Amino acid sequence: MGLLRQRLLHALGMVSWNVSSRRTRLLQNFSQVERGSYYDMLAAAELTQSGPLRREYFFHALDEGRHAVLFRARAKALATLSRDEAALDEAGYLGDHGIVTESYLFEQMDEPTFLAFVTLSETDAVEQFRVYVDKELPDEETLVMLRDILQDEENHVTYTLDALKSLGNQDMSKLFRDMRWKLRKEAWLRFANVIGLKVSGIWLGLIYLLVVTPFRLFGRLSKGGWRAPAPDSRSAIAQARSPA
Amino acid sequence: MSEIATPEDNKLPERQTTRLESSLLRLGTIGELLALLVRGGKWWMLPLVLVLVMLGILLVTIQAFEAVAPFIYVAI
Amino acid sequence: MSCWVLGISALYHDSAAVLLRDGVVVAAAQEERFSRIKHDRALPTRAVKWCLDEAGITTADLEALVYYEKPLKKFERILVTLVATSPFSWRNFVLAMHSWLSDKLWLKNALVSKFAIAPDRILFSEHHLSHAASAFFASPFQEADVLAIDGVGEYATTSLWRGQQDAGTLESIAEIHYPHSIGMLYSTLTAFLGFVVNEGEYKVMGMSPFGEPVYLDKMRQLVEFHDDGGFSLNMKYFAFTHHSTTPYSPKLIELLGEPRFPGSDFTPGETNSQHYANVASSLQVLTEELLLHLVKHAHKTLGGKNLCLAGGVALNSVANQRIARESPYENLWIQPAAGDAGGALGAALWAWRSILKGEDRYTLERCDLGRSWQRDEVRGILNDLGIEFEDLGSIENAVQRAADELAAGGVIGWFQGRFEWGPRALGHRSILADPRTEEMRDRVNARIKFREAFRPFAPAVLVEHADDWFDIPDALRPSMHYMMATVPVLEEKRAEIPATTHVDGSARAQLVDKDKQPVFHQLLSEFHQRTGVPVLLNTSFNLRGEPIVSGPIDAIATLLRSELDALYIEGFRVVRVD
Repeated sequence: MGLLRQRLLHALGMVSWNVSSRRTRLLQNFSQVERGSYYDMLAAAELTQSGPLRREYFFHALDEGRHAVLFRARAKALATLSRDEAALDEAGYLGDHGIVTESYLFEQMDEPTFLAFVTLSETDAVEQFRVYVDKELPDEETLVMLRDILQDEENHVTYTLDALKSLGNQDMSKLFRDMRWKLRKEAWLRFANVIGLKVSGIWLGLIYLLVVTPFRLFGRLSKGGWRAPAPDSRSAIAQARSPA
Repeated sequence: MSEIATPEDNKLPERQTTRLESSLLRLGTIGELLALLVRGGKWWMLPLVLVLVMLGILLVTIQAFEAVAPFIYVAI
Repeated sequence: MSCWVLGISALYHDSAAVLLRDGVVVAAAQEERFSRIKHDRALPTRAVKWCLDEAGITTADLEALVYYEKPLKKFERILVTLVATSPFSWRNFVLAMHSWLSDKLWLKNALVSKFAIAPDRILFSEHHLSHAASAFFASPFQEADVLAIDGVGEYATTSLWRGQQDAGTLESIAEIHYPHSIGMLYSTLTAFLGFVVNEGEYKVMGMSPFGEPVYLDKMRQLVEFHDDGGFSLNMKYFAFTHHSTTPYSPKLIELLGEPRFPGSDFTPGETNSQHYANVASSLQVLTEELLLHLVKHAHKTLGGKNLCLAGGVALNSVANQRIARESPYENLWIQPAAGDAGGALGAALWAWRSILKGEDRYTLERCDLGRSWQRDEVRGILNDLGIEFEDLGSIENAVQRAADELAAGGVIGWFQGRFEWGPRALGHRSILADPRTEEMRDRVNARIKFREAFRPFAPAVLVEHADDWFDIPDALRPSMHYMMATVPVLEEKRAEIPATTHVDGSARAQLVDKDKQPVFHQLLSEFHQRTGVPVLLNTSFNLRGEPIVSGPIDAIATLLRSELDALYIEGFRVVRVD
């Protein structure tokens, strides 16, 4: 990887690993990402029509699942969470793990593309972890864990690359170019989403101030107790068709 | 190695709604919402709902232009 | 020409899809089983696809696609609440509006495009109507009084209905509106006890027998029982109307003390833990009092013989026992998927009976409504994965072998047939073990399910022997086939099945019937023959934080990530090889 990227990761890493709150967030993020990969790879194992790849995807998924558990455990061990943070952490873990997706990677692309995508994301992960490990940024116990995880990720790069090559007839450099472009586009969209949330948050705040609070006296919480259902003069079919 | 799986194998066929159809559906939804408020006598909510619905249309329109969304957002 | 109706629930809790052919369920499943995201609330595209594939149809063949509630009415209620609680609700406002304005408001658009369905084929039920329909139109009753009780739908949190099968109608009699809600009361205290809302309520139920209802008087301050049979919440103790993360107010903390820290240790007997167990116990008793209050009013108003229950609060298995024993009703029927997933079933049944005027009636008799895998498919997957396995030749052989392994103290994953509808594992995707030792409970908790140690396990029992082991009121019997209620284990038997007897001597028993579940019944019988005990520990086949397994891939992954001794899957036996 480029020297610039390496230096950047090193610099950022030094901050992340030495500031307690950032370290916790970093580990939690890793856990979430690994968890997401677990789902993606399990879906791939389910949906692929290739026998040998089914096995590879399946064990890849188990690795990611194991990593997610390790990262989460480490995050918990190193941090003291506030009540709200602990509640959020539990909720995330027992619920959607912060992952809300309509379709898994394998459902969105054909197999060669999927393999290219996985190769690239695993390569990125390897590069990132390698910087942390080589520069010995985390504490001893985390370092040991990272070395172990790094080994797995390197294996993932190997098998996906081999699988891609054996699929043959693929213009590999084009595939990787397309994937890099897709990854960049996704990062851009994530960024766009963050901006969008902030901007619409401002607009909504403004609306709240100008159009909600003045009507405070009109809005009332319902009183309790039994009440008769509100009459509706529309026909049964009209009611059934209406979302209101 | 057996045939390569394609994305279409695993998903429901989606229906491509035309821009017109999609807009008409949205208008229909807004109409239903306003009718609901009127039916229940909640006239005071009309200003709030109209403003929100306009913002909603804006957000949804921006969503359609995913890639340039940040520029639109900043411009707003 | 068959009439196909598809019901769906989504966007809040537990998306699901249910397909009816001429009013009979041919396929039903929660989206989480397919997406592997617990409580998945996205539109159930995968579940719908499977339902259609199972029936061999496309959405073009559907007479109607029925959504389980009125989204715009819900939006109205949310707005009114946000206005009424301003200026404190601003954070909630931003969060809610963002979700609604870019997404939920335009549900009809999403349904048309995602499911390729014509707009005029889309129907919208109502939230509580869907719950009520899921109970009544799936029950064996000709007519019944129906109560739906949950957190909140559009406005109603509690609703009373009169169901008539001949007319195919559910008449709305009365309702109680948000924020006065038993579901919200229970969820608030669930959060107070450090658990996750819409997830931890079972844990609160599991914790309560460790305590005593010493705070009942304090708890009673949270609600007001009305003379007309209704109730209201004392809102000064609650903040859920405007606060996005903490549903209880400082006044509640004043009343009951500091809330429990999420994930903290619970050691029965230790002071702090005991305090929280007492809170849980007091909450449970209050909830039961509220439910009985409502049930008595229902009977007073409508005077039927039969009562149907649905809505998330109907999942309170401890309360269901009290209702069966103490209510004036002769017969009780509870929808197994009483939560929002059941709304998909209710929406479909309502559309079929009330709107399409379908005459054929449906009774839910079995819960195996999900997807199954053929032996060949399973063999193919096992071969692909390169995992060692034994082909036992047939399900019958598997039953024999599994019974041997269970009697010898093995803990096994049991995968057979179509997966269950509803939140309980009932012998199709179950983890099974011998209930005769306490060590077994600890082992399954700690090394397989990785759960909190205090949580109890449920027993499955042969229906013909059930009365020799449990004290079962008649009204409760039908619901117990789906594990919807707890009952006392007979005193003389408690020492024999300690792994499935809770600290107060109760158990959430499942009655297993030969006609409805021939294979599971056979397995239990074989175990009975070997050990003299017609009971097995039956817990859901999944790891903590994951939905119940659906297919071979999830099952094998769960086997390999836990300390299960073996997986029995459609006549194959798989073990972990380290």
